[in-house]
Order: sequence, then structure tokens, then C-alpha cells
Amino acid sequence: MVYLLSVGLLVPSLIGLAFVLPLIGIFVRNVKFFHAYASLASLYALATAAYNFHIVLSEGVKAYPFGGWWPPIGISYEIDEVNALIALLTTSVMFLITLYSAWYIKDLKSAPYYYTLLLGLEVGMLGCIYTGDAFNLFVMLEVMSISAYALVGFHRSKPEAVEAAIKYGLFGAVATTLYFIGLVFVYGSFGTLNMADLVNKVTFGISSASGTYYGQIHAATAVALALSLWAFTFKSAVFPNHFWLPDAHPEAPTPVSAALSGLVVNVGVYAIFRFLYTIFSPYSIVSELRDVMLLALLILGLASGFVGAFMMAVQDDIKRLLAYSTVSHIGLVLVGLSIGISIAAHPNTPAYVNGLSGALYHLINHSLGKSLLFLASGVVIFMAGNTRRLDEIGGVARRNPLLGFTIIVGVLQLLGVPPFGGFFSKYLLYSSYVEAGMPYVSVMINAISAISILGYVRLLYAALFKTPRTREVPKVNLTPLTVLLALAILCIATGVLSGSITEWLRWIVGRTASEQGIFNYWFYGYYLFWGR
Amino acid sequence: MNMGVINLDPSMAALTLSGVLALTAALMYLIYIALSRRAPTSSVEYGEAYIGGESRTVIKSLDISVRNLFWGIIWGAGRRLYLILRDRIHNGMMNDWSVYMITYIGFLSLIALVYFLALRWVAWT
Repeated sequence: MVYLLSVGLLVPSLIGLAFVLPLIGIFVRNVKFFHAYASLASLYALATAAYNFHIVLSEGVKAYPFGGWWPPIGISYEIDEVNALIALLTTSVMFLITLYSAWYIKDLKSAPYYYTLLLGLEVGMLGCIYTGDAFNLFVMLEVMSISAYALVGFHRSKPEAVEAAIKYGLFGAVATTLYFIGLVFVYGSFGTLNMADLVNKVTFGISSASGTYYGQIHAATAVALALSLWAFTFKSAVFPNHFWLPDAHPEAPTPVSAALSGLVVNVGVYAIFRFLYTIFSPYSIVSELRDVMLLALLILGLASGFVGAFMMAVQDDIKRLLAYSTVSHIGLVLVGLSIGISIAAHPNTPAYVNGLSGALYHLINHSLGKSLLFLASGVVIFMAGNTRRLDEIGGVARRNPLLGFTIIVGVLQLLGVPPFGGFFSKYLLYSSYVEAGMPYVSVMINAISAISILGYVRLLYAALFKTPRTREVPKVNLTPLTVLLALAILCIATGVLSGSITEWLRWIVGRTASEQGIFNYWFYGYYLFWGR
Repeated sequence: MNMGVINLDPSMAALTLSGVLALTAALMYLIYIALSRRAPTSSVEYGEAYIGGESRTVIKSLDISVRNLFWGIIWGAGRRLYLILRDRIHNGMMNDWSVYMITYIGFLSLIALVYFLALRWVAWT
């Protein structure tokens, strides 16, 4: 089977399901319908992503050319083990977030628009993750970003939310425009924007259906990479492109905050992986430039880790504290991704495999832990009388042991306390840099974790250990608590099954970020269609 | 390079650390129970007449404010860093953000330029 229909089907069908909702809203007057509709759409996305993941694991890389136009002429989606895994993570967490939204969004008036944007956000993320075309990545980044801007400003009667959405939108538009300009350079010199075809030219140096090179490809690639990495680090909120995040994420509705902090930032990280480990890989003609860019990302990742951890310790707002925690954790993921610098580790060496699998593992752990804590913070805010101030929360989680339990699990997961997954992913990151002969990076990883303790203890203290101001707190129904419990179980599972997960991630890294993985990406995404 | 550190079994490390943490948590809980036995279970507003001239609601909570938590450490060990991070970098002004973000794109562009010039130099020599 060359094509995989479900790869191409998911994004367009989910777009249809999302944008038909306002029309349905004219005729249907039952808010429960919208909850059920969005949950089923999200479940469909999860089932399809799980099927795609299963097929990729058993059969290898799969592609889907839209409209029957072979790449590089038409747009194609291509999935290997890494993007299939990230898509599965995204759809799983989004499904739980959609279920939680049924509790959070209560009025009929906003439900159709909220779910349109939420599903739009999911479509944008899946499009970015699945696409095998650099221009389509730009389009899907816009779909994702526009949904995100609108969701940040969803509480439009709040000036802070509108201000945060404007800031996010303004800088976001600059970021995607810079990426677009980068693509102009790529297209101008390589004559293609298909990722597999780019691999064809950048790595194998073969002329393809899109012709050959034009002009100064090294100069064009350097400019394109500089502009693209700026845009990707903006999307993943890495220092100093993180300023929008602590404003935007807290002002969004709580389920959206969970999606933004737990999932949307992953898209930037994934794009960096695809650009620096597949298209412009260590085997490409620009490997020296890639080295310098990775070194810059390592420095920025460490800076991001320190700044996020330190800023967490001085926050008074529970959601802002969690937002800074995202800056810190994405910094750590980026540190793992930077292991591919040639002075650190060469492909297939233990340091290289451990660093990349540690980055992937930490991405998963962070997504689960951060979504859990954001969703739990929504319940805490509700129980505390709609306040986000840590001082006013006053130990409300003590009134609900299940909520308290899930907060503890989320905090321990992100802190990296054994036996939770966060410990093992940080351990992999730590050991990879020791193995690479750069122990000072490992020390800094530990220092970042140590500083972040101050912030997490503030959260635990405010939600659980402060003496409650009142005995009477509003009752919370089972829906959000079930979602929190499911996420807490997943967090625990990432730790309990760490041995298997680590081995499995090493296998995935070996199949994707290796010479064979790059060959497969090119072979199934281009060669299989055209041959020589 | 200390290979002993690298080859430490993560599962065993996790088990040992978990045990230590569980013991510490149990100990802290016992101390907490012992200290909080006589304490009221909810915060109270200070409702009696106050003769110092200040507002009556001086004591709002039985616990330390979250804002003050670790303030001594942050102010003592990282005052300079805190002031730079809060007042200069995270001051909420978009103009200041732009400076850092433009500096960053400038830095990446510089890398690109140096790379290109280096290649030209190699080709020329």
C-alpha cells in the first residue's frame, strides 16, 4: 500500500466538521448537542491518528498525495514514526480537553464558536504535524495560529484577554511572515517546497521532477534557516521569543490554556526536528550551518529553561506560573534536540539517540503533566470563587481529595520526581550530555530543575497546604475530575513503563533521525512516486 | 567522564529516590500533624478591636502569603537577576519585547551571513 487514505482524510474532514458548526448553531438550540458533536469529532481524530500510528509502526513511512497530484507537484502528507507519535499525543490530549470543555463551556451562545475554534486549533496542529510540504506547513501554522488568537481573546469582555490576543496575533503574524519569506528563499534556490524532494536535493544532490538548483543555495539555505528557526522558536515560546506566552496562555479559557501550553508549543519543536534532522540533516550539504544553528538553539534552550524556572518562582497567578513552566520545559526539550551538534554526538551514537529520545520523552511528559495542571487549575479557580491569585486560592484542593491527588501527580511529573516520567526523561537528557562529553550542560539541566522547585512548591502550597479560607466550596461534577484522573493515570504510566517507553523511543529515533530514516522519508515521499 | 554516573540503572535510582522521598514525606506529614493539632481548620478575619491605629483586618490568613514564599531566597541570592528579569525583560512593554526579538533574528541572520562569507572565503582561497 503506497498511499494511506487516512493520512490525507483526517485534516480535511476535521476542517469540515469544525467549520460547519456555526451553521448548525443557527438551527440547533441544545448546548449538549455541541458538547457531544465536538467530543465525537475529537474522538474520530484520535481514532484516525491511532490507526495511522499503528500502520506506520507496522509498515513504515506512509504518504498521501492530495488530489492524485504526485509530490512535488501537489501537496502531500507524509508520516513517519515521530510525527505519527506526536499526532497521537495531540489527538489524545485534545480529546480529553474537549471532554473537559463540556464542563467549562456552559452557555449555548458561545458553544458553537468555541468548538469551531477548538477543532480548528486541532486541525491546524495535525496539519502542521502530518504535512510533507513546507508551504502547507505555513498554511497550517496560520490555521492553528488564527484559531489560537481567537481563543486567547475568547473572553472578549475582559480587556486583558483582548490585549493578550492582540499581542499574540501581532507577533504571531510577524513570525509566520518571516517563515513565508524563508520559504521564498528555499523555493527560489531549490525549485521545490516538498520536504522529501528537498531531502532529495539537499542530501542526495539528485535532480528531480522539480528541476535542479538555482543560484546560491548555501546563502539561500542560511537565510531560510535563520528565518524559519525564528518562527519555530516563536511558536514554541523559546527565550527570547517567549514574551507572548505568559500573557496569552493565562487569559485563554482554561481548556484552551491546556491545549496551548501542552500541545501547540510542540508544533514548533516538531518543525525544528523536521527541518534540522530530516531536511537539513547531518548528511546534508549544509551540515556546518546546521551545527551552528543547533548550538544557538542549545544556548537558547538553556536560557529558556533558566528564565522560565526563575520567573515561575515569583508569580502570583496560578496560570501565569504554569505558563512560565512551559517556557522552562520547552527549553529543556530544545536542549535535548540540540544533541545533534557534531561536537556533541554523531548519528546513531548512544549520546545522540539518548538525547533525541529524551527530548521526545520530555515532550510527552510535559504535554501530559502541563495539560493536567492547567485543567486542574481551572477546577481550583472555580472552587476558589473565580480567582487566579495564588494567595486567594487558599488550599481549596484540600476540599476535594481527587483534585488534590491529580495536582500532586502533575507537579511531581513536571518536577521530575521519581518514579514519574519527568524523572526518566530528564535523566535521559542529563546522561546524553554526559556521554557527549559536555557535562556542564547536564549540570545546567539539574540546576533548571532545582530552581523550578520554588515555583512548583508555591503552586502546591497555595492549592493544597494553605489553610482554606472557608469550609464551603462549590461542588464540582464528575466530568472534569474524570478527565483529570485519566491524565494523572497517563502521567503515572509514563513513569511506571519508563523502561519500555525509553527503549521504544530509542527505536523510533533510530528509525527516523538516522541515515536510513532520512532515506525512508525521501523514498516513500518522493522516489516511490517517480522512480528515477 | 565518570562512566559510573552514566551506567547508573535508572530503575534502581528511581526506586531508591522514591523510597527516600516517601520517607521524607511521611516524616513531614507527621511533623505537620503534630504542629497543626491545635490550629483552627479555616482562616479567620481578625475581628477584635485593634488598638494600634491600623486597619482591623491585619491578619488575613493563618499561613504565610504565597507572595512571600521563598522571597528571602530570591531576594538574597538572586536580587540582581530578579530585577533584570522583571524590570528590564518582563516589563510587559511590547516595544521592549521587540528589541529582544529583533536582536535574536539579527543574531540568527549574522550566523547566516558569517556562514556564507566563510564559504566564499574557502572557495576563494
